[in-house]
Amino acid sequence: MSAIVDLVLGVVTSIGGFVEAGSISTAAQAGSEFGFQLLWAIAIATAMLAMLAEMSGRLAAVGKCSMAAAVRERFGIQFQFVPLTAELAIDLLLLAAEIGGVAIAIRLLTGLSFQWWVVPVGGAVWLVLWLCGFGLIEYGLGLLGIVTLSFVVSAWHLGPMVSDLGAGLLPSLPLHHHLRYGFLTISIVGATVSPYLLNFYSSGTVEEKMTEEELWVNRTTAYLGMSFGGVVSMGVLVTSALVLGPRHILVDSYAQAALMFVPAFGHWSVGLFAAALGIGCFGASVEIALNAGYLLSQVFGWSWGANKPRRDAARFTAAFSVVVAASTAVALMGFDPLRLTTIAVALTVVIMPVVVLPFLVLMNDERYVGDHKSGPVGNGVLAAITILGAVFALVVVPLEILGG
Amino acid sequence: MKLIEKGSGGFFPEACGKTLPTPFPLERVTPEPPVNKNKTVRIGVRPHWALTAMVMVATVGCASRTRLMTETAERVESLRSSAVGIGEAWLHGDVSGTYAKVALEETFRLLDKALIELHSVPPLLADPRGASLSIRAETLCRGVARLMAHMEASDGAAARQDLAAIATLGEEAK
Repeated sequence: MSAIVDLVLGVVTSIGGFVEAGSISTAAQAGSEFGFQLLWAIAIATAMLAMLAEMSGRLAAVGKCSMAAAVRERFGIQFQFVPLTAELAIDLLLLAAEIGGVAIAIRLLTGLSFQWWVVPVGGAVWLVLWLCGFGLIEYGLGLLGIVTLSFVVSAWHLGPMVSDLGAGLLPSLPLHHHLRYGFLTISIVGATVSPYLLNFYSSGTVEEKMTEEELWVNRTTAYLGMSFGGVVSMGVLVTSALVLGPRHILVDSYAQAALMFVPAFGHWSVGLFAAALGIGCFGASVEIALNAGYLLSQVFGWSWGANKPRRDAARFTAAFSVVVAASTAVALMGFDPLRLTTIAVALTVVIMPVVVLPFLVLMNDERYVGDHKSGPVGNGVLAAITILGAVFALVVVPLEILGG
Repeated sequence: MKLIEKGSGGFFPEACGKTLPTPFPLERVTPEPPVNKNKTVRIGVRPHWALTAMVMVATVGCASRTRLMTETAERVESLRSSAVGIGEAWLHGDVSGTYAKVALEETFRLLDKALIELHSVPPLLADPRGASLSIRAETLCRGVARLMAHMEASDGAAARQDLAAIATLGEEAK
């Protein structure tokens, strides 16, 4: 019974926690500029994320250690230095973008400049981390995130043609703006397959003390939860394509993006959009900050855990506190949050090969996964993601300049 | 000694099929004497290679200017359409005055940014299409500012007129 409750909660929270600043901005931009043509990118990125999440959960359930701890143990601190630095830098940018996203959401409702809200939002993120255990953070924020389903409701209300949706799920080249199309494809992958999610997922599995017998829960949660989450992301793209696309509105700000809810929700539109954006970004902020704490603690061998009293994990607490403070300072500098998000998610793909390659080795090491080693399909997917990530990493900066 | 026409070399406007007026006089440029006359440095660039390189640079320069022009035009049209959407939603009571104000402020800021980008490339402004785009963007800026003021004063009738004027800008662009 407990496993079924865990499964339901896991799936629901995966849906609620899927959409955040990166996925909203990239999907909205893709929809307004290319219609349904980039649905395939969300579908493929979601499938990649589901597989990676399942593998990182399996590694944690069988090996009883998180991904970062396993990489540290297997490859040593010298090897870990590069992925650690890269992931922390990206976490810092992403967290600043998410904090900015929450601040913008509050601005849409209050009219006060977003910079006024950056410090209170940063403080609220830290307070949640300080006061709440892992279960409350995961389930509480995930359940609140259900408001993001409004994107799916909106897309349903607008009634897209099924044949058009089907055509969008097949990769195709655009008739115009090829560089922009390439940049958005990479951004969608970067926004969906964030490396921080992998370590966060495996650390969460350790926190929840999942056993080998419960691997089916992990598998179902990963595939079902992520798939439904991907549908929410597609809801953003479809709504944007049907509302903003015909008006030739390009999404350059979240305020413009909020217009996509007007046909479906009328006078609830801005409130719902702000709630979806704000809660999605707040949930992601807490997860990213927590992951930064996990990452530093696991690499340097400190005591860690959101369920531990804070004085028993003092350096872990200090780590996430410093990361929250630093990201709040970055957000306070006044960078356009949407622009910051675009840059951060595009740069995320740069570190993808560095994070995924060691994972490929770990998933074939009996000391960590016992009899649950990856099969040819799993290894093939990991190898493909590593190669794809390397290609993306090479082209993302030129594409950012020319089409970003 | 060789004659170099100042003011036409940077962006190769003639390669785009347009000739810009030359505001600067022709000037004689004397090459500096070599430091060591005994050592003559020969640069092995053949004329046809130099010509190819110049054509390539001109093509890239033209392409980037055309791209910037197209992007700015799309951006301005997007912001015009956003302003109309925000205004209409406010008039229908679908969005609050607070949101409308925030969204129009953002629209204004982005328009200003687009104008600054356009004005930072003089050859773009010298091009009739660029000049027309600049005028349209400036008119839109003023229209958005008026709309914001009328919304602030809750003057629906005046805001409706502003929206009609902003919508007309889109028709003109077509």
